[in-house]
Amino acid sequence: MKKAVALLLAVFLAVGLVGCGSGKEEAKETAAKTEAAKETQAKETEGDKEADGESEVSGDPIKIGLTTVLTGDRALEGQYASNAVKIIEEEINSAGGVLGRPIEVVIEDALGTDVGAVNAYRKLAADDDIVAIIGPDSSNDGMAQAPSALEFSILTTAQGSSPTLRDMCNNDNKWLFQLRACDETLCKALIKYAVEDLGLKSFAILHDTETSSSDQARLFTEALADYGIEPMVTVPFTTGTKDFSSQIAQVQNSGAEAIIGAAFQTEAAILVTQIRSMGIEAPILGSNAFADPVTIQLAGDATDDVYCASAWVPNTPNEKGNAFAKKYQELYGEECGKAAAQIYDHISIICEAIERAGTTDRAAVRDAMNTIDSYPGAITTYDCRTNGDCGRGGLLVRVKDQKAEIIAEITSEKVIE
Amino acid sequence: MNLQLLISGMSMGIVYGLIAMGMVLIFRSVGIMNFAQGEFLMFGGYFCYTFNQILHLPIVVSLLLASLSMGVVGVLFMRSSYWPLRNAQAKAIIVSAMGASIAFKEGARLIWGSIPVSMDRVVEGTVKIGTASVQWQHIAIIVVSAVIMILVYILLEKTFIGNMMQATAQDQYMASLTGIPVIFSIGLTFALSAMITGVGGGLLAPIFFLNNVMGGTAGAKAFAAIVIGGFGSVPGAIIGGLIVGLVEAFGGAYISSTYQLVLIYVVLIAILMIRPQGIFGEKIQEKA
Amino acid sequence: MTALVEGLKSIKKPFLITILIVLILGSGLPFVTSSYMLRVLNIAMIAYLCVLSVYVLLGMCGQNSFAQAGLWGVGAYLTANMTLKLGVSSVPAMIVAIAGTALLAFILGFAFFRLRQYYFTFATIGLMTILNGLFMNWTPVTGGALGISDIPPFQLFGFTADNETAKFFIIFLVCLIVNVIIKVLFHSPLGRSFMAIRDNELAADCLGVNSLLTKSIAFAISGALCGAAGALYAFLSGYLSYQTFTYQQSTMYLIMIMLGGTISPAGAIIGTLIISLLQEWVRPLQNYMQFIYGIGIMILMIIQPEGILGGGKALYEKYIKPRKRSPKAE
Repeated sequence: MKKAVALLLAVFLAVGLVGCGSGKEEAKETAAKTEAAKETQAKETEGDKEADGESEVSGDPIKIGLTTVLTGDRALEGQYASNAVKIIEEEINSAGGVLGRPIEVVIEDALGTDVGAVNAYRKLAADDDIVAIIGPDSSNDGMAQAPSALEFSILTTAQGSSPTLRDMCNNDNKWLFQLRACDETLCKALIKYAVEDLGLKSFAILHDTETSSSDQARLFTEALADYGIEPMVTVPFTTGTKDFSSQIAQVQNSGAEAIIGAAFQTEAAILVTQIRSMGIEAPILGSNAFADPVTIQLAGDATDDVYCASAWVPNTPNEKGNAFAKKYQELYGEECGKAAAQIYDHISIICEAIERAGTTDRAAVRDAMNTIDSYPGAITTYDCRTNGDCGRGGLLVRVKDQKAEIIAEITSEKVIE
Repeated sequence: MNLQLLISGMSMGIVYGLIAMGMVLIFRSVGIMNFAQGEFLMFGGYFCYTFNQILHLPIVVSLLLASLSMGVVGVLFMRSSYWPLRNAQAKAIIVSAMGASIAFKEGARLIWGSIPVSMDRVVEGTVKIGTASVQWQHIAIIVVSAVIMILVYILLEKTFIGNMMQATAQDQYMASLTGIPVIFSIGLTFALSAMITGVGGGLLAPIFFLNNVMGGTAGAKAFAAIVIGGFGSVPGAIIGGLIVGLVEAFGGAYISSTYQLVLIYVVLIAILMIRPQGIFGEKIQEKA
Repeated sequence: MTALVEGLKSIKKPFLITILIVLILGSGLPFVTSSYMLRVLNIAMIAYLCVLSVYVLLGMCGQNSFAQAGLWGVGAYLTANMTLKLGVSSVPAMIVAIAGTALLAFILGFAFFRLRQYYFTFATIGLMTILNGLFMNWTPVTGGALGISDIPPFQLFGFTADNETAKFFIIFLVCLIVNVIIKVLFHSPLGRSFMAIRDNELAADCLGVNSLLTKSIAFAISGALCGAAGALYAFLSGYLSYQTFTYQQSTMYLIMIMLGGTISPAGAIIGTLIISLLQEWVRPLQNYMQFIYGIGIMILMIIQPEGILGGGKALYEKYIKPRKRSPKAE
């Protein structure tokens, strides 16, 4: 009897947690949204969905797998990804689908761990209907999935931006594509701007030790070396650090003219706030996340005068990207993050490859990928003639009045050996 | 630089001490380490966010309301994950708290989403002390924490309810024989612990930013504070918190900023080796 | 030597038959499951080795450690370094991983077991954090945050375990061998001194058990199990990064053994299977998956505080045993 009461309470606690606070309506809203999405999906699966007038979409849906982090520590990525999936599915299907068939994106949770990413990947790959799989937004996960991509022989697009991943795609794994501008291009462009245009001469680097940030710190150092500059000091910290006073104090002591930062959104926001509150006015040059809408919203004024070589900002001059960002903002009431735009591009490129292959055969689709030489995406133009470093650039931005202001567009030509 | 490190180390230390104090209260009451304490911090922060940013209440009112709501959460948590297992082995309770911790984290994500958020500070701006600059919020945290600590001391030592809670903590069976409603007393302890930690979350949110996993690292450091300070001692938890904060600040600047968290745990192991009962702990005679 | 003989004697027919049945049933598994489920099973079996290591420490010796995932990582990184940097072949690399992890655990055990009960657990939490910090940041050895990739699969006499089925059989075989070893250990004098310490350390000391040494040996054995699991994981996944070897993973092992029951290795099997499969079963819930999973752990623990095996045993003693006995009484 007592156990029953306890159980009831546990359930009550569970329900209470989900339904409490004023988050109630939000929760309901999201629930309603997922419901709606499920319904549309169900309709599509049934096959003959009423297309919006223009053209007929019929037949079984073409399935594309997406492994992203829905739960756990890195769930922000999954939130963006699943929102983006709904937009692009609707867009493609109402415009006639792919090969006259609707598309359906199957999402599996990668949990934010290697094991989770691989399990999710294999679950999708074992399903013969899945034509291609999109990996999570992390180089680690991409590399963990790489052996499975070889084993299953299925087109896999990686979202990680690490140069190590690029080499892996180019050299040992023909099934793996890095559909993103490799960090090298962006880091070099930012340093070039800082040294040549801003005339800065001494730098201090502050970076997270997780994969992409430590990669970026290395690339910044290399780019500086091209100008014969050695950073005054390089201070690493671990993800989850909340108080940066000891790191910032070291930077302050070094007397550098400018600070280079590499970190994710939360850390970037805390870092920028604390640097400014300690009275340091030095310009901050940052990795991707420093001009992210989330960072700007968290850190507010403190982000003013932050320079950043970013893959994506919501007010991008790219027409396709701008339209997508607007649509996202309308639908979800929040600014569109990089992770969302990236998924948008990944799905459209995979659809393009399927269209070019003219079939859903896995090998044919992979081969078709290599024929894409300049595909205009929401973020940038893509060149997939070699597997690694397919994205062709990004944006050089400066944050002013809590808005990312575009200074220049970064483009690079693909090096094909 | 040293002054800056000292001040930020102290202010972080007080925060760790506050969370640690919440953990110690529960430990003293039921003899179990609460593995979901970090999640209380996160939930307190989110409640505060809800009152402050969504319902647009002033931050002080939000903090009070968040604290009260956390009291309810504490009681619910006690009733669902501790009470049914009170006669089982300690490890069973730990596992159930771990399950609850996962559910808390994911529940918060389902309600408030995974985009990190911020909210109002109690006091805006920074202040210069010598060469160091300190955010006013840090000073507010130190003041509020000190007040809370004093209030808790008065509650435990000087009031009837406090005596009741202490008696239950010492011996549940004896307490029940003297007519103390044990479930009420334990519930109160959990509520108090959740309230203290919840306020901490509300105070930290504007400077740490809130997301559903913020409890993890803070919880780990608070835990180190408890062990260093002496297990089960309230003053020990606060001193331990300060030590952790200072080790973090000075170690990060002078030894290695990469291994900040590692350093804290090296100190923890070193202290355990030299003085297993911690700085303030009492040596417990082993019973056969 | 006599200890070993005594332990081996304990292997009776029923146990051998069970092993045989498991062997036959297990061998059939790869042919009926998908490659995805096979990977889940492979990972589950590796987790099982780690859970067994918790069983040796907690179930037999009464010491709770949260450093198991760290030791698992030590085994994995040792294997990766041996095979990739020194070019050692699979079997010696695995032996080095097992021996190295066991040695590390033994030395640390000697230091940590000066602390009792709770305090030992705290020290292991510290150890776990330190190890994870090293995995993430010690770039020359662990490849830093990016980790180590392209670890060659298991090889022996020209045979390469490069597909999921071959990997399954190797891991399965190791699990079976380990199970027999644990069984022998359980009935050996060493195992009995473990249990003496679990039940009452002071009394065990009085009876002449060197509790510090014995506990350190238990920690070393658990380290060896984790080392084996680490080597197998390195061969299985071919890629290692710090994300895998975390404190959360350690807590997962405790959850597994507590849900299964700490009274016998069977508890470890049950617990590992339930948690590993539960995690895959709740996948269709997508966003809600981990929430339900957390609630599930809580509810299972509340219904069965002694673990499923412990609960089953209690039921057996309450209802079935008395009935069996009653005819004799008449």
